[in-house]
Amino acid sequence: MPRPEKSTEAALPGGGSTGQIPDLLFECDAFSGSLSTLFLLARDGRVDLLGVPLAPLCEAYFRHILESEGKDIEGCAGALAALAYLLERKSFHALPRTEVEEDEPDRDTDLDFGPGLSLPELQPAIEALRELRQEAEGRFFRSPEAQEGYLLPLDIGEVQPADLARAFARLLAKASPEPPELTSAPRRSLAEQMREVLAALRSEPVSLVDLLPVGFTKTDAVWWFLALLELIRLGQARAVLAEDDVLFSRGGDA
Amino acid sequence: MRLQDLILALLFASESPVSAELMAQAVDRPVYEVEEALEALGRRLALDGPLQVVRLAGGFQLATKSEFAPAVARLLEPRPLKLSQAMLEVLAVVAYRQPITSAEIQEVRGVDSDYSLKQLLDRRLVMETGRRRTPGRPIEYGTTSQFLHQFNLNSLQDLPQLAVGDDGSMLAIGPETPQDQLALELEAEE
Repeated sequence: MPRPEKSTEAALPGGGSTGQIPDLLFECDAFSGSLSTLFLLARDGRVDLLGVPLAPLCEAYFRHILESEGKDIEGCAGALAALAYLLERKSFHALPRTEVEEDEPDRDTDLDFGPGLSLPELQPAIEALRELRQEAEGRFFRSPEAQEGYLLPLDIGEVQPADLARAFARLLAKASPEPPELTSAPRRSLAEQMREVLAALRSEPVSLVDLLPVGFTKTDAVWWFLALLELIRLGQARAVLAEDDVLFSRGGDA
Repeated sequence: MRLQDLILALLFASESPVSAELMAQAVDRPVYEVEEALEALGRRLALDGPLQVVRLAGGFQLATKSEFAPAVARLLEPRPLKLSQAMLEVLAVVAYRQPITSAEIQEVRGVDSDYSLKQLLDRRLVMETGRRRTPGRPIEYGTTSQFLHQFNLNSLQDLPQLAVGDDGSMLAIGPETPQDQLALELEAEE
């Protein structure tokens, strides 16, 4: 969740400054930190911007700017300058490059990576791995995958997973657009959602669309559907087929 | 009830490799006794029948012997695990250099490797192992037990060792798995 933390100033390449940037914490696979840290790393070429989704960051700052109602003009200007710089850098990196990866890419085979093994040094290992894989193909197990464990399929009578999937797809098709995400929105829990769904369920079966409140979004649909599945697993909700739809009611254990 | 038969039942019922410790808990016997029984069972099955006990991904599992593979393959029609040269290279870099970041993989290979890395993540051969404590806290990657299983390895210690040959070129040596050792012992006995 982005939240204001502090203000920092960073120098733009070629002179100039971003001014005071109000920092929001930002987290994704390729980066975790504040806008100013991201800006500094991008400026020094120490982060792969292609792996950093900038749209949510921009949205969070735009909201922050709107909410500040002009009280921090310099900070807002700094943030916008930093975001513009990041967008320009990312756009540049997204341009087609000559070193596009293929199965047999052209590369500098003399590359060495510090004290570790370089790619040419790893070639015998790559061949050995290929041979190991071929050997392994000569064996068969009860389960072809080394899974951590498995779940027994749940028997819900005549309703098949495909029926549930179709019902869920119909529900999603009727969902309203998502409203802007509130930075102060409380975390949702499945347990709370299950209580809400259980309260809405009646003894007579109803379709998913009739079960959800009017104006539900796709996120609501996902939460309601997950909660329903969990309630069915616990025996507190029941699913029955009605023509080509699936109807839901309270279960015997509710 | 013979301990060997109990172990065989556990191995038959398990869908993934089981450690000697877990089996010892299940049969309420000391681990060393289970290990002895596993060894005896391995010898017994190696001499007779279509099954063998293999040591994989830190545990033991029942598998068919390789001479039965063609018939089983015709029955099950398994999808072959196709790994492109690029994916094999990324996998080798991760296996030998883990934990490693995406940027470091790219530096070793000299090309953008994100696509291959994602393919390996999807196939559960590579996983995220944490974040490095450097600016930007990039994700670190390592291999999975699925990787060990699919490449016939018991642990990362069994990865082929790299050594410099007489002519100065790099060689991959090993691995010598417990199954290889057993085969050698049985050959010597014959």
